[in-house]
Amino acid sequence: MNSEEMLDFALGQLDDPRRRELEEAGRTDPEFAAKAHRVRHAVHQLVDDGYTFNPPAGLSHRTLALVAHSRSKGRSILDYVPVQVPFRWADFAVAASIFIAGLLTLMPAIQRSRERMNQAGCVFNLAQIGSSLAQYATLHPSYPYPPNDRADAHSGLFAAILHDAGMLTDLSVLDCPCNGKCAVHAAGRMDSFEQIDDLRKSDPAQYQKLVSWDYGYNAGYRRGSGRLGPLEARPASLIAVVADQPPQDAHLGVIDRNSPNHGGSGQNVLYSDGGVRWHSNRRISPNDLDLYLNNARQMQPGLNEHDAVVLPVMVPFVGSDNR
Amino acid sequence: MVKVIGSDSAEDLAQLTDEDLMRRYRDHGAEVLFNELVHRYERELFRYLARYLGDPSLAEDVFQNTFLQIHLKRGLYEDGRPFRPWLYAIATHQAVDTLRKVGRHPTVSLDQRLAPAQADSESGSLLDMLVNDDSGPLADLQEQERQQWVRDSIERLPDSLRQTLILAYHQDLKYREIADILKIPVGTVKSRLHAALAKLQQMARTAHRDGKD
Repeated sequence: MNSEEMLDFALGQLDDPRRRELEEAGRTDPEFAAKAHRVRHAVHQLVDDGYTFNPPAGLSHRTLALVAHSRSKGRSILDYVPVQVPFRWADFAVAASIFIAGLLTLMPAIQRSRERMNQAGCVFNLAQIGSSLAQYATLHPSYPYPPNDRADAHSGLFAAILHDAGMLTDLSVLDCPCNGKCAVHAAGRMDSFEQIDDLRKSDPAQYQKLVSWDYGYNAGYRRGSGRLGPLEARPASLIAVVADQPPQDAHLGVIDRNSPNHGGSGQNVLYSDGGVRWHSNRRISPNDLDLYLNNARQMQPGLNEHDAVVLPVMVPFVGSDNR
Repeated sequence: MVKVIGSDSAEDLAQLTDEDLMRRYRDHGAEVLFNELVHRYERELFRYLARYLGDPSLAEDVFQNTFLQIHLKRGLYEDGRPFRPWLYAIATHQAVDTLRKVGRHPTVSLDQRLAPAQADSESGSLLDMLVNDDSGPLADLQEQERQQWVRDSIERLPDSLRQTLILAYHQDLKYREIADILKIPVGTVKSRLHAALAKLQQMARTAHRDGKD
């Protein structure tokens, strides 16, 4: 028997049958009995204070009176605490129904709020692109345009030209948040305009993956001489420069089909004054019948300065006759 | 046959366990059941509170508040839970609050570790101390002097040790019950009790030595 057990025995803390065993040992082993007695006596000497506290007369009656007074004051909130709450499927069904009803009630509001947030994100993107174009226009007479030997470069490479000029560092602004994530991040580190244009011929699949942003670009218009040229940087002229990408080729001819970025409800358009405006149809001014086609109903640069045409990213600056 | 609550005779009530009384009081709110519980614990609980608080008038207030809490919280009593530790736990909380309001007792420092891992070695040394002091450091004192010394010394123990000592020695509660009341492991209860005894023994030796000097 260890000392801890001896102490527990002396303090009356051992349970049967061990207690009975030690009591029996005490009857047969005088030495053990003497030791246990000495421990008990020592503890008694240290702890027994000789007091016998008796409750004052009437304590229980006063206590009952206090509780009765509490009862008469009316029920407290604790009185309504259920004694037992058994699990019932009916309760679960009611709770689930309330949860689902709440969810269905809130979903449209959450959806609308998300749409508004994405719409604001799209406007912000275009404003950022507008800011880059404005910076570019302070150093150049026109908006981004490829050199003559690269005239067949795709209009989407306006972003690469801006990037080359050091005026567009954050490529995420080329992703409209309203139509899910596009693969802009795949671009990673954008190479120079020439390198990307070379990639178009050497690795079309990689090029397709790289140039996948959501905004189309106004590649300029046909001059009186018949030659194509870039849009001149004149902010006051209020020309559409960048906009949400055009609809698919199959729907391009249908005037009612808007950009797919916003589910076909309309498109944001960035103008040369830096402003971004929402248009619920493709007719953006009396002089411009279709944002995505020129006034001859072709996916070509505009017939004049006021005939703004926003081309898809994969259409050359010189336009596409065969679409 | 279902018995109508309130029609129990005193004998019937006396035969019910504390847990049955509390469960039926919780479910039906019959005053006779509550009265039986108050009468049943009047002497025992008052003795505990008076000794722990060191003041019978404070103990009376705490006793009344304890049973008021039992009445108010009757809906929280769980079936199968032993009533006695639940009552003591509420009473102890009430007493601790009261002590906090009136100000703490001066206590001696506890300069020994209470790690359960050391329990056996401590028990060993404690047992040796208790057994080997043949005459006992308090043997020279008159009985009344010794009792006065015990009262003063226990009052100077830290609260946690005093609680455990009173519950184990004076109230005859088992380690399991004390652990349930104080919401601490059984090992900690043992360590505290041994530490309390060791501290008292040490104080007794000091007092004895000072008395001789």
